[in-house]
Amino acid sequence: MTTSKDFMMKKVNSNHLNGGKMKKKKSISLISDFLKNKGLSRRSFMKATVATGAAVSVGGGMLPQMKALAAASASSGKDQGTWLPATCQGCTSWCSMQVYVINGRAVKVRGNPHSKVNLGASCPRAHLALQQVYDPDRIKTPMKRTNPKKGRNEDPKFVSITWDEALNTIADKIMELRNDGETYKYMLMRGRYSYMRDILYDRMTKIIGSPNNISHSSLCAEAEKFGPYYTEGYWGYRQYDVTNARYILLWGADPLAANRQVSYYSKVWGEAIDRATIAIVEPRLSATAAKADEWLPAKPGTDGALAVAIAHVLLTEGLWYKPFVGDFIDGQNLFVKDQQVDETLFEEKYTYGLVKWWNLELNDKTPEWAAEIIGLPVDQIRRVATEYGKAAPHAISWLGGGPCMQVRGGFAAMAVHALNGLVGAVDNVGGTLTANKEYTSKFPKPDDFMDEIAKKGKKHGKIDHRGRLHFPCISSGKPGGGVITNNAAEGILNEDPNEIKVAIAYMNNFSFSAPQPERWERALSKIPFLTHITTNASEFSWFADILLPDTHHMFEKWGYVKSHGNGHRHVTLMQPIIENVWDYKTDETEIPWLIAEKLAEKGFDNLLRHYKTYIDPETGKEPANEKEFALYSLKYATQQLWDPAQYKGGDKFNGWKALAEKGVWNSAPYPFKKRWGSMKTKTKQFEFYSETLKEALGKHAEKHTTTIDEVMKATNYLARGEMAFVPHYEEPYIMGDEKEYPFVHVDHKSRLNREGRSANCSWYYDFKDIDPGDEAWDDVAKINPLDAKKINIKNGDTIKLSSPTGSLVCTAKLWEGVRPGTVAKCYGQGHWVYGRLASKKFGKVPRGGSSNDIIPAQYEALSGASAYYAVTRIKIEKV
Amino acid sequence: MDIQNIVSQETARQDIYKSLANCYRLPEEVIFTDLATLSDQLSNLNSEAASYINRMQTEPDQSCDLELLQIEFTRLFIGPYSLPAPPYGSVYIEKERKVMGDSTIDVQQRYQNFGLDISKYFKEVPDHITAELEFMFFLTYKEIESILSNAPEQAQEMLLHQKSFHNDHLNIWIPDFTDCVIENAGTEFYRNLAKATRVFIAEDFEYLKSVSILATQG
Repeated sequence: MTTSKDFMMKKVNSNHLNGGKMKKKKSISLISDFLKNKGLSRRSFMKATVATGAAVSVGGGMLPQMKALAAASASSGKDQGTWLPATCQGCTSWCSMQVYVINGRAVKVRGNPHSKVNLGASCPRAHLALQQVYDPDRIKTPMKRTNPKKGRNEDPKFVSITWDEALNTIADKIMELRNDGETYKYMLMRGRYSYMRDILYDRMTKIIGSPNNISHSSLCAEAEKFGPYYTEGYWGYRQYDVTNARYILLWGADPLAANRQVSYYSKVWGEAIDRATIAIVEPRLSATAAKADEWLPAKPGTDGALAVAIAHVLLTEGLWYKPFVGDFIDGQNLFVKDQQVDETLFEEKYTYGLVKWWNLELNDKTPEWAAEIIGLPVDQIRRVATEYGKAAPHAISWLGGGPCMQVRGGFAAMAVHALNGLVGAVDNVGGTLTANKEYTSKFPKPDDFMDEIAKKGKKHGKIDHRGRLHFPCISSGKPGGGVITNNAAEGILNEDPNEIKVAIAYMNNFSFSAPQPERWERALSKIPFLTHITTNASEFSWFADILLPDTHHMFEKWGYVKSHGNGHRHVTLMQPIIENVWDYKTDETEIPWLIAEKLAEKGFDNLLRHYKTYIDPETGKEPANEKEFALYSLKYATQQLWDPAQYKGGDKFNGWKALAEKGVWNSAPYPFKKRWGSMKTKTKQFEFYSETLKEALGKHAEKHTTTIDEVMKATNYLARGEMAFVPHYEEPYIMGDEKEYPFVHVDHKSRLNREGRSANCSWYYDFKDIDPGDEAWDDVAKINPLDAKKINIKNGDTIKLSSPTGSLVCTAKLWEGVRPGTVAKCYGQGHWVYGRLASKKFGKVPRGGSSNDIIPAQYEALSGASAYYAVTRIKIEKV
Repeated sequence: MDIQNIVSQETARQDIYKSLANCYRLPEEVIFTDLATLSDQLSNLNSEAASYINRMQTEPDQSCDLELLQIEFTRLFIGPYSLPAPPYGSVYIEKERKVMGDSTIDVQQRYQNFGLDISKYFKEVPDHITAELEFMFFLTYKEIESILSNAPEQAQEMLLHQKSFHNDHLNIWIPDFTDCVIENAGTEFYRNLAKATRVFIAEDFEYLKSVSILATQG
């Protein structure tokens, strides 16, 4: 900032040079002196008509031929600046934003005051977008690889090419697959998306004719959705009514730092703290833990034990919420430790299977039993359970990724979420809520544009092996319904079920963001033709044949996303609100259109004909180019939000322009208790004994002509028989021998991570110490001083963390905010490429260490989620 | 010095700026024409930069292998990885490794004062080295036009604009930028181009300062 100011000062001074009229008058005689001095006689000037006038008139004549400069358009000029609507995708809170734009240049950001979800608030990471958009290391033009060899040690030797050359090359490769009847060898990999995604991810893949559109979702949080789905039939992220809550019990969730609705929760957390007791279960003192009443640093992987012990207390103490759960017919509490209960004696209201759950799992799960497993005092467990129960129904059990993105996390997710059922917090004031209704529309169906080659190609098996016996991926109750992203690397490497010849990937970086990323390096090296669409060349781009520069979501593209919080849902628009600095195009709209045009030129016009059906709802015009397509498809998808003739609910607008100006549509407020008795489970009730899961597992077992017990075995679960249908505790599956690897690794996320994309922003390093325990301009592993003393590690030592599958180098930080026996390390640094600042020595020495290098590729196989937590032990060595 | 000499001298400067600007674009066959122009006109000005340009034309590793030069150019000035020598003024002047800074906007404002802006085909920031050198070409062009139009006061103004642009921009960042190229270039071709650029910019700034010394004395 100082440098900018200095610069402006200097500029002011220099302006004196060519400033006021007095000076000019003087300079007229001076040039004569100057010219005389050079021996020039005035008579030798050519006689010509001289156009005199203001200084700028010299620019008014004919312009010489130039390449970089041209006559300015009428619109160029001074502008005082305007706040324009935008959307932040730095994490999946997806806050509605505003950007202050002066002369086409973004200068600052803030929350959009029109959003009822984030209420004008913004979190710290949003501001880093300004450094991202004006990062000199961005991909600026399409590029092609000139080094045919691929590998970590092979410099791709990229060279700039035109869009035309890039698109022709891509289209030729797709046409080869079409002509050879091998369209199933085409693959699309999706990273960060907007809801324009289906244009590229779904429609294009289907019309070309491949089953292989692979999303990143299972690297994200699929296991977290498993808990709510198999209890209350909701496959999605919850919102929490924190300002009406009286108890907030968080499990491996850090809403003041990361995901979801960080801006909203940061804004109202003071209010929440005033009214509610806040307890947090996490081995590390997170940003939220630092402001909590109770910190429960349980041993990693034992959340399920704590959850069932709390459930045990709630039942034995009679603290369940009777208007939701029901009661014993004669009013006497028969939930007594170690005693089975006759199911017919309890009458449930909006729940199902409570007594079954008690009999199968809870009856002996006392705080004393749990204390030993989780390593916390009995008193604390009992106190938290009792106070939580007394706050019913305004008592939130908040499931984060921590307890469930584990190998055996599915049942822990159910156990943690089931507490909400016991205290009646589900769908209730001060409780856990699903998403409000919104009215965006799907894009036109592709079916009529899929020819025989496409239909045949799409029938092939998927490259990620979802739905196989050991990978049920039963999202939303459908076996094989979910993705198992990280396993696609194995599919590619083993050509199972077939080789991948042509792949397009966008806004993803699997060779950095997926556990055991070295597998991706080998897999990507094997794909003969890979296109990567992204903003910054990453560890993934390193293996690409063609790189296409992508627009930045906050400033440069059309699109929309939807998210929920504060009892509302918003649909927030992405809009091109600044002048693009370089030659990028938008991943999910413009680029597929341009590829479709090229395919049509080469004789396959199905995709282009399909895209032409995305007509502008205002004019009825079909799109004629990529820019129109990007805009029309957005207007098409959001028509019911802005077209008064099609109004369905929520904010009302009088046309597209009105929505675009505000940038956000808000739903009606949340309809509490509406789902009581009509949940999307098999029984329509909140299931403590999951008939829904029983059916889904049954279908999966049937598909493989085996038993559910065999499915449990194949997926590394210990449950057998009826236990597979109730929330329960299972001993965690943690890799590494305790003697060789004495510590359990704890991965966590930063307040400043814009997913994995902050590493080339200097502000990330400047402010890294806003993450509790972390240091500015460093990447530290947080070790409890008691542990450090034992192994003679001092603050600031350079250390190597090793697991059975890899290692990383970082700095030791002695810190009491981490449970003894565990080592906490933030995800985000450790890039070996990604930009000038991101790596210490480009291509060779990373800046800091990437957690994924020590996390093995393991899965919570029922959902397909990659396991990040309680998955590996590590050792520490001085370097 | 008669008018013809003055015009020749200023035309040499004009041609040098134009050809130097072209040298910082993705190299095509035409770059060798620009090198020939640079060689001639720098020699005409007795510039020490001429020798570096001559080496670019004669030393083997420039090798006329256009693809090799394109790869090297891309690596140094476009990316996508590492980008050892970002060709953007703001990166050096504002020291934040960011484009579109306040200094960039100052450059853009100067272009706009002359009714100019970045061409829509150029797709780069206003303080890209090619744009700034081309702006110097434009100012010298206008200066010559003024001399030939018998408008010495306008010629003087154009000279002062050039000096001011050097003072606030080129002279500040070109030394750091060319250092980056010299340090990171994998070919003598771009190392020599950087040396030539650095020397010429320094020489020309001295020349432009001589104009203002005269102005002060007056």
